[in-house]
Amino acid sequence: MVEREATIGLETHVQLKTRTKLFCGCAYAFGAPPNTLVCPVCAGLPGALPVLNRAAFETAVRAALALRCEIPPETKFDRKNYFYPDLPKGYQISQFDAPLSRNGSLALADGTVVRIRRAHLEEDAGKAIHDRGERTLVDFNRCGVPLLEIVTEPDLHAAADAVAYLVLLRRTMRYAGISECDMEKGSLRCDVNVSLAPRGDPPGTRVEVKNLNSFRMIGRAIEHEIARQGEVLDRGGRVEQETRLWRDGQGATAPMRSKEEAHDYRYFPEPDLPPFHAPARWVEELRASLPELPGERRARFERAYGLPSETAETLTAERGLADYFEALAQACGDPKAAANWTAGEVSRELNERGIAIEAFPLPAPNLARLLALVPARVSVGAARTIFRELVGSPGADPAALAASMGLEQVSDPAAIEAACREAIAGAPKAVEEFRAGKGKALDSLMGKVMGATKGRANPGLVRETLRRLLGSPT
Amino acid sequence: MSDLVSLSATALRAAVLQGEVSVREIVEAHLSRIAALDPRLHAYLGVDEAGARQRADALDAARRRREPAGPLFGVPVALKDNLCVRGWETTCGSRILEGFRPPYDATAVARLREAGAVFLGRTNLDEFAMGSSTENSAFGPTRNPWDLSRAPGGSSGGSAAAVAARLAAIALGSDTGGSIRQPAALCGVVGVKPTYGRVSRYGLVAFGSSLDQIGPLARTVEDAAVALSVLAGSDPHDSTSVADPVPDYAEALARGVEGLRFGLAREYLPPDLDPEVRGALERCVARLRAEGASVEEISLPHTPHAIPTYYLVATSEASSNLARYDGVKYGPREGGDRDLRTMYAATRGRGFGPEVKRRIFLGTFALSSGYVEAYYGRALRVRSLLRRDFDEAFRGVDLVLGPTSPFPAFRLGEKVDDPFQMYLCDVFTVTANLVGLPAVSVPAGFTSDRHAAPGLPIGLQVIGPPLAEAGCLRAAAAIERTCGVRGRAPALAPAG
Amino acid sequence: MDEREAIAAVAGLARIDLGPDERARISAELGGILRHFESIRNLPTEGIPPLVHATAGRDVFRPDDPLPPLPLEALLGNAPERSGEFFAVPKVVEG
Ligand SMILES: [Mg+2]
Ligand SMILES: [Zn+2]
Repeated sequence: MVEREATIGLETHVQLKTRTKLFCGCAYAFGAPPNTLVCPVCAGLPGALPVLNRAAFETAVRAALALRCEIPPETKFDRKNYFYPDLPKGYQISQFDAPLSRNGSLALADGTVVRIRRAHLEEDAGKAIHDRGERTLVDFNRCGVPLLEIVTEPDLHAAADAVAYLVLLRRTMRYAGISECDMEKGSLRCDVNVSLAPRGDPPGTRVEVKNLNSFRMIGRAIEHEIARQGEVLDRGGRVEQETRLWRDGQGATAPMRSKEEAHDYRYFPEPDLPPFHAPARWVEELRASLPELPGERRARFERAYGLPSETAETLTAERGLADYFEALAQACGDPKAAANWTAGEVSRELNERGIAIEAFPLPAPNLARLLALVPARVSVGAARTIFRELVGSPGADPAALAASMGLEQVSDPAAIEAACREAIAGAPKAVEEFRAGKGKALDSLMGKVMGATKGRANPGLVRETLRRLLGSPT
Repeated sequence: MSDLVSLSATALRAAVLQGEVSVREIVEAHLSRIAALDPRLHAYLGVDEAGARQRADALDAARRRREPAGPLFGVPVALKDNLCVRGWETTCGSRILEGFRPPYDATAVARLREAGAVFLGRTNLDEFAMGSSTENSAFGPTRNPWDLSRAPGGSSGGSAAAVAARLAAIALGSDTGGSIRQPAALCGVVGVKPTYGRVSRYGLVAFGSSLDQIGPLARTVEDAAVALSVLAGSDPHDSTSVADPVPDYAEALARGVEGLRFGLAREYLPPDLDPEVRGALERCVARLRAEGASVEEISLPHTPHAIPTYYLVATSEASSNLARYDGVKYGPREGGDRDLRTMYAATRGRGFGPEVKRRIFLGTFALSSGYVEAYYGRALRVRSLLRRDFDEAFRGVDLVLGPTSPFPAFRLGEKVDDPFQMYLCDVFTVTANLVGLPAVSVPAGFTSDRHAAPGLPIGLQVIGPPLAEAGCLRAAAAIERTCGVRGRAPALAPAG
Repeated sequence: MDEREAIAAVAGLARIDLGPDERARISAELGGILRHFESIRNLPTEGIPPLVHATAGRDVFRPDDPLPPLPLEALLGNAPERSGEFFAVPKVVEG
């Protein structure tokens, strides 16, 4: 049987974080009452005209630069003509043959480079609601919201890679402050193209899959589509070029019921908008304004701090978390501990509280003061307890807190020796075993000492004392 | 004041400011003349009597409070019914927009209001400004005040007829391929098509977005100049509006034409040009020369391609601009009890008239896959050639002079059955739109007794380089002064 | 493509329903008009750039400052059919 290879291309729409829409002064808010965030321009009223939002253009170019795209010196808008009730003008203002950027790339953690064919600016359509009663209902609030459409080359070959690309794309957009990329709120949407062909052959017939509302769905839909096309080909059939919808309940794609006629969008230059220029100096300024992006940062964390790749990945998921880690590492001087605490206790606390790192009350320098007590003055376990208390009163002094909570480590040799003697006296069996050469028996004695001191005894000192008392060399 | 309706806008304002007459009296005089004559002319699609009276009283009160008076203070103005006026109906002469009330004012409308104008009503037009006779209005044609059996031209036929018949001092029109200038010529009034971008298009219902311009129609060049000074200027709501400062257009009018170099394009004098039009042009040339101007023959060699180029560009843009009339947001709906697809096709099939459908079909075809390069794309290239013609011409002359229309007013119904014959009405006007140049049509005589219909107005057109409105108006003022047509009014008696 | 097919295709793209008489008439008229337009198809335009905008304007921007939206009734008041705060259209069967 021939070995086949899937070819996957992604078309992602990212909603730009601007105060107002692309061509008018309306603000947009997800979930606002229907048809309340609309003006003559975005409602497509007769006579209204578009004027480009400078911030949207700038944000789009920054986004394109974050994706390592080339920015041609001139760009223009075009009309894409089609009829749909959520498209009030009967055309979408988009970009056709002179997009604001081309030829970018995104390098995944495993070294795979996904080429980006183009990223262009366009206006969003409104929302048509089909599942409320006898009629389709239309809300124009979303009309005119600025979108960046990002189109990859067909460089992906597996569902996991496609998802990895999207994860990194989302991170990159969030790092650069381009977009929230919240799929639940529709600020990131993705359609995929999947084709299957014998390895080495040119890609087969493309099938477009829509209705993908989470990364999980995207992964599953691609896997399903590869399998489905494989079965069709196995049967000697031909894959039809079509658009299919992902049915999450069934875990399968299905052809669109309303078969659309062949599209002829009749693109032509938007006469209501002049051309736009991206002067090289301005582009360089924007490029310089970009923060370190997640891919680069992950690599640097591995290199500079010697972190394992998985930890570096976790720490760079959000820009704020990575910033927190670096601040903590700087303040406590121990990157490994800083990494473990940020990825462990801090992240767990954020999850429990359902907050972003930006809203985390404990500043990194104060957490660093706690970490400085470990292990000499408090044990790791005690530090976790103190940490939870500290998050509640972030201004408190960690050392004072340790003392007031009675969690300071006991390092007084006399007190420890007394506890050790007590443990030896109370566990003759363990002592016998230890003397017979069973090193493990020491652990049970240690456990008794720690239990008796409520975990506060300095473990190194306890071990040393026990060995001494039992007459064995340390 | 006996004949308030015959006074120019500048004279009316002066009379108000001198306390000789109230705005209310001016408005009443116009309203009663509209009531008497418009049933036969049908220049208006709607008259806002209550609004006009209220506004007149408000202006009179402002006058009593000695508030500053704008340049059109108290001037009664008619608005082509493709301009958005908050609270009015805007139909574009189409069934498909019946009942539509825009919730905002066009910038041009807002500027007139700011300048103190009183809006009388909305004027008739070819549906969506597509036509050259105003016969394509879904609400019936307008008649030419000089001969009621004839068309006023179009598409701003209602505005031209209203001004000619003294049913308004000034009217606004829109000009995509001649729609201000051609009816101005056929109705014997002044019509100005400004440089593309000189007047904001915000609130003008789009036909051909890269060609459309709003402009004034008036009975005198001075009134047109005053109105243009009010209308012109950049607008943050129109990305294509031009930022250059606006001169006082009325100021330059008295300067005369001495030293001005006129070009007479060979291509604008075809053998089949109406002899009366040719005669008027020749007389005008002689007088301009006598005034100290030079007139030389020039060539605009791509002129024969202007009509196809224009109709391809305009209809392509229109096919997209008119997609929004789909029965979802405004206007009447057909087939709403069926599926969406049927609703669209029925709403648009019944809502648009024949000429609009023809143009949507032409434009849709010109943009469709497989044809777009051969038609729309080709037209854009020829558009460049037409611009080169003018760039070349303006190296040697200051202004281009020619006829506005190849013939005086034609009979109603005469051209409606042959769309291409109708398109040829615009043969001398479309290039100014394609190239974005300012152009003024000014009355320059009447048909003589030798003509089948004596006494019909003839207009001539002055085309200038970009933003040379002042020069065009200055030349038009000289033609107005020397060709001696001022003061002649259509003989219209109230309906019996 | 056959002329009738072409007209049907354009009618579909433009979403305009034509009666049979109207279809025949428009087909004849468009044919005639396009024949008049042949002249520009034979004009050499190689190397001539397309002219889209009549003015040389460029880079016209708007500041990212919010403006008040329309009142709901100003927008929905013109609708031929509405359902509460929504525009309503015949049910679109999707998917
Ligand atoms: Mg898109
Ligand atoms: Zn808006």
